Amino acid sequence: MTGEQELLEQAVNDVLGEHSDVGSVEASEGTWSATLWEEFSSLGLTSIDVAEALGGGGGTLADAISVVRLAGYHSACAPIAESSLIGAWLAAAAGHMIPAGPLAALEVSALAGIGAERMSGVIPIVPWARAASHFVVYAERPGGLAIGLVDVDETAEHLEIEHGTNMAGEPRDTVRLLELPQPRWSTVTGLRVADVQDRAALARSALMVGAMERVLDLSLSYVKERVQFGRPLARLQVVRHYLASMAGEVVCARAAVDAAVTAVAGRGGDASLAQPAAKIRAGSSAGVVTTLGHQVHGAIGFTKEYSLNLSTRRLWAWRDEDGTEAELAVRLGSRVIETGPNALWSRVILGEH
Amino acid sequence: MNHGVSALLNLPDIDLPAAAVQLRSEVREFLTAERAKGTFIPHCDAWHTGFDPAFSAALGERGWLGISWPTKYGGHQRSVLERFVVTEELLAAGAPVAAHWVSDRQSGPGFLRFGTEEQRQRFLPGMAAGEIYFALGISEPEAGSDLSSLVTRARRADGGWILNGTKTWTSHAHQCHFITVLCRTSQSQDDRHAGFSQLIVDLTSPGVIVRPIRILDNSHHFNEVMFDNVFVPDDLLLGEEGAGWSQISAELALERSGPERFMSNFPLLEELVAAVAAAPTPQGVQAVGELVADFIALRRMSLTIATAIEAGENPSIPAALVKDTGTRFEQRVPEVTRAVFSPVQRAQNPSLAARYEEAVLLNPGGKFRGGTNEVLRGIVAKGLGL
Repeated sequence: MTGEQELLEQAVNDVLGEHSDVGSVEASEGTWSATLWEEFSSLGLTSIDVAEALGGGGGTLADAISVVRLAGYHSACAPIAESSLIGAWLAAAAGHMIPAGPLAALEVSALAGIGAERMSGVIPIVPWARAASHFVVYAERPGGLAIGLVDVDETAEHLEIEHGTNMAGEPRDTVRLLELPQPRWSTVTGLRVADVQDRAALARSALMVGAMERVLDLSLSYVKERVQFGRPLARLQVVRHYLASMAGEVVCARAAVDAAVTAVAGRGGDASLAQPAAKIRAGSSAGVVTTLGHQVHGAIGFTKEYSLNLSTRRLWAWRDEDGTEAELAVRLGSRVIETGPNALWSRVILGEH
Repeated sequence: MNHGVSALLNLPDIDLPAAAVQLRSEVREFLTAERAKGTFIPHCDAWHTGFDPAFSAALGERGWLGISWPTKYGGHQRSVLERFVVTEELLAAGAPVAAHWVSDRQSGPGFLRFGTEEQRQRFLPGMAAGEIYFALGISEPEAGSDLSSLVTRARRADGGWILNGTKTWTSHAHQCHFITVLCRTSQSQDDRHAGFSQLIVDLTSPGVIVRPIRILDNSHHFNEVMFDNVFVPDDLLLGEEGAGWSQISAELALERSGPERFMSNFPLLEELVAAVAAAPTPQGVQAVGELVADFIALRRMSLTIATAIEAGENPSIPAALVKDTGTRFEQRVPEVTRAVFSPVQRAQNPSLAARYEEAVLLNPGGKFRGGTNEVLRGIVAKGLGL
């Protein structure tokens, strides 16, 4: 990690840490924390890897991913991953200046009225839709991705947002477009809906790695403090092995995320393989880490008053979002066998072309 | 807020140097040509079972052994990352690299860290040429995971040491030239780890008896090595008398994090992917996706550890994690193969069937060689501050 990245992480930890206690997070579940978003936004952390010319931070994807990982660690109740890594990225790809406020991406490829003057339709399970100042709508077109920006306030009469949440109380809303006037579309050549899905999988994985690090930290502290049979749980060999296994899962998931970041940056590996791989790895690690984390905590971890559940409920929700392990393994496996014979080492693993 | 874990497990970002990329293509070209000539066919676990002195010498001739060692000892003064690239290309090809493996990975670096100038000049050039092979004398019949209970002992004699005892699970002792023996040179009441030394023994010395131990696939590479009053001259003590324990711990960290800890079954994985590509089923495609996802993560872990070593760090905890996670991964490859392809389907694909059988029969070794996974989890737990 570079010194600059360390400073960035320190600053982000300071902001997010203020909002990550059980009381603050629970108060924001079922809704979102506008205060947290404002603080984050004022530090210029909401579009880190977007070019400065478009109002972004001019940083790298690695910077942005490390911030998202910390958002996962602190159970941040704001659309940090979704808005910065997907919304702002899409808007910037289409050459839009990044507007203020959270951005929510909406795929409208299949909606009626695309290409006509107005469009209508229902888009389910949109993360943080109610928080958005703008929707970044996108649709697959021959040769590229059409992207448009919709100002929520200006088009309020054509939008209906029905509230819903995932099992961690994070907004997952249903958005209805009612004769929404077409936005100004720009088509980004070569970009596909699959690329957006891959990036969403990577963003989700980074959140999950952060949440898993939190579960591991909480578990380590707990087994050192909790005394049973006359000694701390940490003295029991089976408990020590559980913690070692959890650490192995966390490191492995984090390595998968790092490999994907490297691949997206074009510095080794194939991004279309490494991004789903990161989410497969994060999802299967999350299964182990949540199970063992709860096991070493016993009943206290099962209560709402103790903070473990903030991370474990998110992990259970997130492993189902942007592709389950099974769905993504099929996607990844299909891409692997399409690369042709004798390509496993050179093209799949090393990403040579 | 406790960020201890994240900091401990933090590994550096990586960028392979351009020289490594160039080297990779040279190595791959050579391997492709050798395969075409029929020099070898890919085998699972070939880094352990494929003992081929001619092949090792050919690698040495091309400058691919002792790659990061100083040129004055026959090395090539290149980076650890370049060694990593050569290593992973050899493993991906399932090439027969067992003859020089221990010398290149452990014994050579051991001489560089702890050896005398005379020892370095005597052994390293031959190792780098792929002509001198070392075996490791560590485990004993009564001391496996608990190395502190070793009883092989050397006592002072005129001009050297007299060595007595038995080492076991010694790979290729019947084909190697030398063996590094971890033995007691004194006994301490309070410190179980004190009083060990490493002696280099010429395997042709009088009093050395090598007895084969056959393993599940009926192959012979393990041995029991007995030392009956073997004389070892003073100049073959490696490092300091009494410092054997810490010397060997440093070696073991190198032994645990290399790509061989998750690539032993790569030849089977390659057959599996090819077979699924030829006749895709939903189950097969999903299995390929799951295995490739794990492989990408493991390779990244191993590569970042090599990067950390290059930067002068000692990432022993992540190294132990690679060995634990990596061996569990490679053991899944044959299990997934049998879940995806029935015995009849496997029988119709002879190379898949052969690699599968190899992998199954050699699989139990992965989780104990280099330290059992249970011992490694203990090391990790300690590293986590427990």
